Amino acid sequence: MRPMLLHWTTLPHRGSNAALAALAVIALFALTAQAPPPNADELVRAATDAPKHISYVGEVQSTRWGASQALATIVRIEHKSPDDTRRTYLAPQSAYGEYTVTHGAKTFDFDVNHATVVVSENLAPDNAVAYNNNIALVFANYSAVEGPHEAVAGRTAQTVSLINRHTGERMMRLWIDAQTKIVLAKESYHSDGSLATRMRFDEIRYTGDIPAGIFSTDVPAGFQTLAGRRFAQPSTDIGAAVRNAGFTPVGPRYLPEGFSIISADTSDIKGVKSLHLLYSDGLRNLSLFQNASNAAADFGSIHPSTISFEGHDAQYVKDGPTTLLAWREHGLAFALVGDLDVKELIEIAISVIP
Amino acid sequence: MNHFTDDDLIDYLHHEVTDAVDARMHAHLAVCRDCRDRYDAEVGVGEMLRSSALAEERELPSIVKARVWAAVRDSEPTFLERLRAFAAPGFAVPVAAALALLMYFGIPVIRAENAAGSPTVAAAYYFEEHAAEGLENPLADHANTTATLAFGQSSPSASAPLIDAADAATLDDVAASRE
Repeated sequence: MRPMLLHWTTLPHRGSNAALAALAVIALFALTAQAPPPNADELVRAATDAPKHISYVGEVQSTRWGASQALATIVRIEHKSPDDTRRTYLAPQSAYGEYTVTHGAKTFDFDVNHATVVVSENLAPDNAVAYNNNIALVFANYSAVEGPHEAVAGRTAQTVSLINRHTGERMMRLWIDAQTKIVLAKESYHSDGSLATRMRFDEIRYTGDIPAGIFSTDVPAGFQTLAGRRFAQPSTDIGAAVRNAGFTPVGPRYLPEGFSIISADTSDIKGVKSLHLLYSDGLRNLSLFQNASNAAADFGSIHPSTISFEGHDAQYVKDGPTTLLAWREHGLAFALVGDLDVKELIEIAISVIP
Repeated sequence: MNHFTDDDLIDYLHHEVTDAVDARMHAHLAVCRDCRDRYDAEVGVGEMLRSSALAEERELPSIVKARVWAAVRDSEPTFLERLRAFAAPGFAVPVAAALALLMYFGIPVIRAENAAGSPTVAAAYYFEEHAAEGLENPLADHANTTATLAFGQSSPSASAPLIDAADAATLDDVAASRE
């Protein structure tokens, strides 16, 4: 039997010529009318995806604020989609001329002052599953609220604030290029509302015409190549990581609202087996490290502050908006690192009971 | 005979007269008993003052001493003087001790273990690991990652770590908030 073929010419006529004309008008309207503007969630989603499709060159100023100090850098950036990026430091003076070239997961740090190239690898950003989970976590804990249009680096930017659904506090503000969806500026805030970080393009030009030599990772003559850290993809199989730790780990009984565990992994640091549990609320991260080797945190030349809670002596330092709190308890050594205030970290540490 | 005055005799004693006057007075003192006695008396006074000065050290006025020391301080030391001062035990020993402490505490590699013999984990490791895995976050500041790794040796911004003096009142705040 001959199969029945369905051609457009065989479609039955269901209406009059007038109806066909009306459909044509509607179709024409649909083609010519502008698409409705994306809502704030879609804007944020598009912004996280934009660098994979848009190439640009520009100059970026970044500042991180601690409790009493700030560190600012100015970087010239060349980005060729999807994942080639070169960042050349223009300031501070101590870093002037140094540059990094990133190809996907690999980063080459060219230190022109010490004639070294450090090659490191980080597979975390390539974890698509974790990336999507995190996007979901962002919208579960934060509501995106559109603000007015503002000009950044000569471009029209749509402002979007990310408001914590649990506390009502604005934790991040984005300036998203209305046309390309590239994030032109970004501010993150401490929980008390003070500014924690700011990134802002001073200038930007969209072009894919960037010489390939810009992204060259050829080692210059006289430079020494050094192997840097290799960061594996964190596992979402928390149970497997915990079993692999070789000791009975503990977790916090208290976490700020919205935080949940997103990955875990174990690593061997010169014979010290350490378990790393990573928590996040989508924007802010919290790491709990623990080992059963009684291996305390070594602060080197940094002088930590000493505090005590629940009968434990602890030490902490702040690196800009990030704080490290370390203490020992019942044969376990803990380190809590997070983009949270010390007060919040101590609350969490108190709830870690072996 | 014209006698000489006491002032003339003192000038003669200190060789402060012209050669012609000196010759004339020399001849006069040889024959004039009165002038000779007054001359000998002036010589005796001078001898007495000189002996007295040698017999006891007299304290200089404080303003004079201050000026002397100011002049000494203002004078540039020579290279050898500087070298000698640097090598002096009072300076060199504390410096050597400070350098040793700096190397011990400043370079974690030198001490793989702490004083109790337990191994340690560098704080930089924790910061790096936290920042690296945090890049899973879609809104992580990728452009600022190197700045986040302020402890890291591979970071261009490592020379400018942003380490804050911690707020000692923090724990009290926590305690107060828990009550």
